[in-house]
Amino acid sequence: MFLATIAYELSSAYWGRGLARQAVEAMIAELVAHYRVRSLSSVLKRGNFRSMRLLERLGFSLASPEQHVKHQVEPGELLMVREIQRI
Amino acid sequence: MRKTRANPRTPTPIECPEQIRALLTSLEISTDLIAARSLVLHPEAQELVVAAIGDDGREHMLTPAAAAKWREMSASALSGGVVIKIGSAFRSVDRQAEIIRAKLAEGLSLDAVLCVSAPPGYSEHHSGRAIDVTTDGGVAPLEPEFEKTRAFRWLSKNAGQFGFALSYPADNPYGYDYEPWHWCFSPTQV
Repeated sequence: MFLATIAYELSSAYWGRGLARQAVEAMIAELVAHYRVRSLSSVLKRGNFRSMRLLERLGFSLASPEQHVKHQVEPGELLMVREIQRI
Repeated sequence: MRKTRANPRTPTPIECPEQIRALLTSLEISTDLIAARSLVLHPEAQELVVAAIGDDGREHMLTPAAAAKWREMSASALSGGVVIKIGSAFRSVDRQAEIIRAKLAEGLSLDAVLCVSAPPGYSEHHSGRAIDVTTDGGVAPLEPEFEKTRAFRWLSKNAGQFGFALSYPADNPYGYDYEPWHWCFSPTQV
């Protein structure tokens, strides 16, 4: 299983149009379909509510305290995760 | 020198019942894809019995023969101090279609979904002979780490005696992930 890290940045002139969601969705689909990525994680600044909402819409949820420790998440940051269930 | 390229595999038309064909169409799964991946149709089991009841109270159904062999096998494992439990057994064609719909709704592409889930009609779980095995000791279900458990080592050594075999080893021809937890009972293998 492979680990992928992705980051995104979008000019504020283009916010609110669902572009970031589409881009991240497309990237996730590619990673799952062609790179065997099954476990996704995302680190964001506490208080970055826009990103948090986007990640929630993409099926991510807040990681457990243990996962925060395991991923060495710094104070002031949050870890959100999504597992692609094999079924 | 001129390089020659292997011909892409030409899919042969597949035969499947109307119910399955309608579901595939509604999910936009092409029958070419199924032929190209050599997926096997698994009709739903006609007779099912409760093989085990999960800690959550869920009833795991298998065919009578598979259930009997499962009980023998899990008792044998336990006598050797190894816990094997059923995490999932029979699953209907309709349930499989629901699972795929839910994943598509989460924004995954069909390509991505079909790496981890079988199209409806093509999951071994329809047959009532396939099981996803879990164990104790805090190992997450349906994860490759299952391979490192005593349960997996025990199954690798002993499951064959009970007619169970690993369905999807690493690099299996169907294009599914390696699934160390997924075992299937075939009466002919006993």
